[in-house]
Amino acid sequence: MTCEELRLYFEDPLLRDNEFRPEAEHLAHCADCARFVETQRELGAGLRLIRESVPRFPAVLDEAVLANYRRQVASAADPSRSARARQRWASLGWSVVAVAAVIVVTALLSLPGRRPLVQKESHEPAIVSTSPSPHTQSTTAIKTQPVHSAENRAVERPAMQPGIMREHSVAADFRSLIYCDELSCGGPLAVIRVQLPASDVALTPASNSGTDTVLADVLVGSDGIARGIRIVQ
Amino acid sequence: MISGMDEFARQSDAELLHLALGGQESAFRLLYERLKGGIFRYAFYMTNSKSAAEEVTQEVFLSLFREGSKYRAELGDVAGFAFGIARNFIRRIERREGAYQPFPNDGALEELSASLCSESEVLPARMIRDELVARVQRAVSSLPDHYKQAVVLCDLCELSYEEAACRLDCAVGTIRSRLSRAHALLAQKLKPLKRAQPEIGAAGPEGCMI
Repeated sequence: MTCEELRLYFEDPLLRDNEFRPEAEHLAHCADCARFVETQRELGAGLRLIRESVPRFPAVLDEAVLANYRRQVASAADPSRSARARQRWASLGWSVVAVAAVIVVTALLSLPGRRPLVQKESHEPAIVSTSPSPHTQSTTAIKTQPVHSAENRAVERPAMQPGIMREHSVAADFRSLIYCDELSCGGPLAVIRVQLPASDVALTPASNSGTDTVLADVLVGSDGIARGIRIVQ
Repeated sequence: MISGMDEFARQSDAELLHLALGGQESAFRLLYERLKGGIFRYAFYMTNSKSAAEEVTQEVFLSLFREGSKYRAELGDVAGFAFGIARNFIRRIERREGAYQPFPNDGALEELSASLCSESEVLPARMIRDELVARVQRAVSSLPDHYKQAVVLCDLCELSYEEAACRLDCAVGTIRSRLSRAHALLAQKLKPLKRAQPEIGAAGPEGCMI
């Protein structure tokens, strides 16, 4: 046996565990191999001790694993349960969103600069006098809707400051319906979107589109009288 | 956990896993019986902790149910799949426990070992044996991970080189060389103990009485 063969032999743990009887003659003459065999035997004994020292498998673990399995199977077999749980979470989420929205709206309403505008926007049905001609029937049929678009708010802002409304100062795209000066047009104005018969509002070329009704924004003063009109569609 | 499992006794692990995922408890129990010992031992040898081994075993079978649908037979056997899960859990535990490193006081360890050896005739053999086991365990634990894996799988879990190579996704030759290198490192780490032993006889129990 050569040194090489002896070391190869020890590389296989299965062989190492067997009774190994290397040629006594070789070990007697080769101190390196004798040391190597001794070390390997001690290491093998140590590893064998570790192998034997593994604790007994705990019986409670069997029960725990089985209980986990049953729980998983039950939840997998009952999709309605998980759906209900999802629903619960979803409704909770929506509730949170709703509460947050209420808080934000309340905060916005409580801002001092916004109060008059908001009050105006939650207006009562407007009485719009579109023209001096007797169109009371059409005004009763007016559909009003709150105006919330940023574009309209931009129009309203200058109108909310008293004293700046003059006839020529009605916002550029609004057509004046009555004479406006500091005295008659002072105070906040509101924009109300209305739907009117097209025949009644022959103000701009856009109104002659041939449709039966037109959408228009009407500037209304705090006295309920319309100051200006803008054809939207 | 034996009743009701006979009908599945001839099924392969992959078939048992498939049945277990479908809610067949007996199939799951049989698969568990086949795999639990190996996983528990592997986890114990890797962590040197019974509680950690229990935790890993429990988590492996939980994950086996949750992730079992991802198993592909062409990529290896179910035992290898479960082993992969166990390995990931052990790494997680090691990261978690890594924050609590023991004091680096190797000298104290040598002194304790030497004192235990010198008192071999007065201390019960079991204590000496336990100390020797702890010492070898510490030596194995201190190996770099790839050497440690080879030692645990081949020397402690008694897997063949081929099985170990399959588990670690490497060549058989790689396992062989890692094991050889690991043995050399272990021999080096365990040398101080060997040096302490010859002094036992020389000192004798009388030496301890002083």
